Amino acid sequence: MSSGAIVQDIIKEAKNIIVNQSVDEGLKYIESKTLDLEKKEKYLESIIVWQFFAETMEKLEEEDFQSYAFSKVITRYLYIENIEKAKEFYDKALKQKLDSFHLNTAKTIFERRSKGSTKREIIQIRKRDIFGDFVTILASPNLQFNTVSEIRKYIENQLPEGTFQVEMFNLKTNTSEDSEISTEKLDEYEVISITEEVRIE
Amino acid sequence: MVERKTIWGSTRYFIRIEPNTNLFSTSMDGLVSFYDTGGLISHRECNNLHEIVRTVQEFWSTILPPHETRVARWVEEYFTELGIQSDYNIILRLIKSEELLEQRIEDLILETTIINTAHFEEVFETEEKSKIIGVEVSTTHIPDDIYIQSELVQKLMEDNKYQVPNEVKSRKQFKLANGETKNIDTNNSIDIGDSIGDITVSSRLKNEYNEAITDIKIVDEIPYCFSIDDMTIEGRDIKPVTKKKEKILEIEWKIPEIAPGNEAEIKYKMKQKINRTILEIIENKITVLNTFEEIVPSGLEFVADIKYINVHKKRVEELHIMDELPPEFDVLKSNPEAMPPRGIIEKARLKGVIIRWQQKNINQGQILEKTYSLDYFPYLFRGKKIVKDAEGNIILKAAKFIQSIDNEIGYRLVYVLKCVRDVEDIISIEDAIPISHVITTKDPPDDQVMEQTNDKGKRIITWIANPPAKEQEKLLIIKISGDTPPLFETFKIYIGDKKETEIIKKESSIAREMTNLSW
Repeated sequence: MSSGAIVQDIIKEAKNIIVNQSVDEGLKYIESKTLDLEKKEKYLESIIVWQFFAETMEKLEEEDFQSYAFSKVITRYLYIENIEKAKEFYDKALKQKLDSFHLNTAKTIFERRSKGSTKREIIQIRKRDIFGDFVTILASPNLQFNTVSEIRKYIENQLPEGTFQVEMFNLKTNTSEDSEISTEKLDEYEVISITEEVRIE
Repeated sequence: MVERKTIWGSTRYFIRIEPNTNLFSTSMDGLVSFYDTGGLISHRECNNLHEIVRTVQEFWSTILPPHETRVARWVEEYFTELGIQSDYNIILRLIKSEELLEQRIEDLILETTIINTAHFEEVFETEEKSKIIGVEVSTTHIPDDIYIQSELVQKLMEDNKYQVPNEVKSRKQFKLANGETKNIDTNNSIDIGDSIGDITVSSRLKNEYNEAITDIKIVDEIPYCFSIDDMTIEGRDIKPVTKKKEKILEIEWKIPEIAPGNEAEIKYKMKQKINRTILEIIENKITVLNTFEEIVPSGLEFVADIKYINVHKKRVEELHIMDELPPEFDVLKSNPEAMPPRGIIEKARLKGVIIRWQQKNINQGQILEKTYSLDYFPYLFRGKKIVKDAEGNIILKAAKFIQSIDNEIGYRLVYVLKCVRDVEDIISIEDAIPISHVITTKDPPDDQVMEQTNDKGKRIITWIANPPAKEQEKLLIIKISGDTPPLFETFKIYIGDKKETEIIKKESSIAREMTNLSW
């Protein structure tokens, strides 16, 4: 059987499962079939199946499944070095504001590979003080970074050792993101803590 | 510590696993991070081994065809480099398995019944105020598959282990003058005691009526995982009656009368015991027992001697024991030594120490003894005060830290001051240490620290400090020598001639924390 016929059969069966059983069952079927295809290095065929799944999920307004399918399509295009097609799906994902663990992983890989950038601006950095409280420290509002790891490098190289809570704004998605970064050696303790607010007169 | 490890077949992508425990099991959790040469790409907190291996597989499959056997070997090798003895076949099964096995394990269990443990208590010589809690689980069969069997054992031990509560239930009953009986149920918090390992519970009943209340009965439900060192009712000479219930020890106090506006306050001083869970397999039946084991001081350390006896009239085919140490303890050594496959000391990050044992074929009447030498887990006491003026504005923050010092008799006391606004007056911090403890060093050496003895037999130390500049911190580090535990008490603070007049709010907690203490 030709590769095209195999792909058509997979899509036909997947449609059947999605309609008659469930999307979950359909995804399981597609996962197993695309795994078989990829073991035989048939990446383009795998991409066609995942694209079909992404389009179907878009029609059914199943955003989580659509995001998952997009992550598969983007990483597989990257694997076969077709950056242009990967970008096409990366841009579509951004435009549709799709968001999930898998898709975000794929988007970061794409950004690194294509030297693309998602500008992030630090809103606030809070440092844990000796009392165990997080206290806002001064950070230039103009600092912009392409990736979270660049922010990590900035904190490691430019700030004194400490444990930080970083609040940043993603200029592409217009959302704020939080990250906790520690650049000091932390040890485990059994902490017995008493906090009192007292009035003094 | 294993750093990130290259994905086989790639030179630019790496994965790092940070398990929270050194024990390989399907319930192990941890963090999996995915990197390229530019840094972190993504990470995921995983709640069990299935999630850990599936996350590795998912990261791997974003850049390379995912061959399950290669991923499983990679994970096995990673764990070996971490010093964790893992099982390739289990890893491979988890990578391949889409379905969790929970359903199959549930299907194996036919019935769980509570059993009478009087015979066990007699043979185990359980102390008067403690109990053995037991259930018998009948199964369709004990699976031959080692993986499913270990899952079944793990599930039954987790489901039936004694849960340490964070509150003590209390039932109160009294009569009003018209004969009406009132009932009140409360939950009393389990609080920090004077020293490490001490726990206190206060059970109170205040008469809010304009008349005396009579025939008062207060019943406190003390969990078996605590030993009671002392229990008193303030200002009254009343002895309680104790009753052993299924999961708790009932302590009943009878008070004839409480006058209007007065209060009865019962105080318990307690210590946590080792929670032991024993699982015995005999043919198709499984018995799970909970016993509670005392820890006793021994010189500068602590010891727990724990005995198991096969009380059944048959051979126990398989025995699993899980000893959960109270969180303030760490194990120095065990006798016999906990060496895999029979024993393992599990140290899970931020969770405490568990010692696990397994043994096959224990004959009727056979005794297995374990002795643990224990010491305190590195501890940190943090007493923090937020000092406000009469208008409720924050003036300053002050803290006292007590830090254990490894391999030395004594501890470190650290006082910190930070003014939120300008303060001109001298600040004094007054604190107490046991009378037998002495200051060996202080830093800065020229800071003024006065010492005197109070009428309660405590040594009072007072740090007299010039106020630090606004938003600056000022520290005093004192090393104390003493062969008894420090006092976990907060300090008093004075600004010039002003003193504390009111505690506006107070919170206390005990928890494991990752923290940095480079004073």
